[in-house]
Amino acid sequence: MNEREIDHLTRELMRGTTEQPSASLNSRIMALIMQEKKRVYRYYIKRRFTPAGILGMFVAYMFVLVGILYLVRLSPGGIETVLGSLRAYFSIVLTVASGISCFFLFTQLDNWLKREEMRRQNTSK
Amino acid sequence: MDERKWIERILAGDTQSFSCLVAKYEKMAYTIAFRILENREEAEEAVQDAFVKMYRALSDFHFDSKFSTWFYRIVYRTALTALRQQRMFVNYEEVGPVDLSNDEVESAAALLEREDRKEIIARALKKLPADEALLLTLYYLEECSVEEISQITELSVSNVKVKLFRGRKRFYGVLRDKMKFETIDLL
Repeated sequence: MNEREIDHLTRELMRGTTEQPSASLNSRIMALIMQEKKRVYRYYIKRRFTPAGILGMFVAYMFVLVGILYLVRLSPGGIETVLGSLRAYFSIVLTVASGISCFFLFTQLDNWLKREEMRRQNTSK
Repeated sequence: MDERKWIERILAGDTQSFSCLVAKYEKMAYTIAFRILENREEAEEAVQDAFVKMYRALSDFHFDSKFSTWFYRIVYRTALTALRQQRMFVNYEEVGPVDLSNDEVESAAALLEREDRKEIIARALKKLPADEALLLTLYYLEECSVEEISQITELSVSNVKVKLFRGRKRFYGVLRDKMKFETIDLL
């Protein structure tokens, strides 16, 4: 018998000799995968709203606010002068602010939709 | 639907597609783990771990190799870890291809017609060293190429070939012995 024939014979002998796991293995694996998915999801939520992140945002906003107040105080004419000088740039400021707001809105909307989709899938299993 | 589509869907959050992968690969994954661990419960645990590891690493798989090769390597390594043995293929020594005797081939060929062939083969595989049983399973049952087996087991191609020859010789020897014993029992 040549090598090819022996290979063929061995394949024929081995055919169908795959070991059979218990019937529940598939469902046990899927249960583990669902747990894994939930764990990743929780981690995602946790990562987005950490106390350090919230504190950082608060400090950043406070700095901006203090900066504006400081600018108003320094200006000789008070708030009227500052608003008057801003009027010339009003359209640009409005356009930029609208752009940023829209971007932020749609990003948040997208994130929310993703989270809802994940939550729906997690709870439906 | 092919594996690529399933994997894309899983990465997009569709867990249902993962069950397709499980259905397709659980038996072979279990067979690999069972050949190494030789214990049903431990093999099932290793397969569960391997599927979770695969799920975690799926985003790193870029189809550089066949998905089955990549996944079987995870199964193989997970089973080895469960065995608490870093190297399964020990005491390797160079030997050339070993020819089978007519007696061995005839005994094996006679098995093809028998209804209890699968049970006899399963018992014969259990008599082999785990590494040889695994290589025979990957090559003759799963029809992996020698190169794919080399990727799964991290053995060199020449090592895989030698191990396969040696395993096959031993396998046929065990089958011949089993047939002989049966004949003696009948007499």
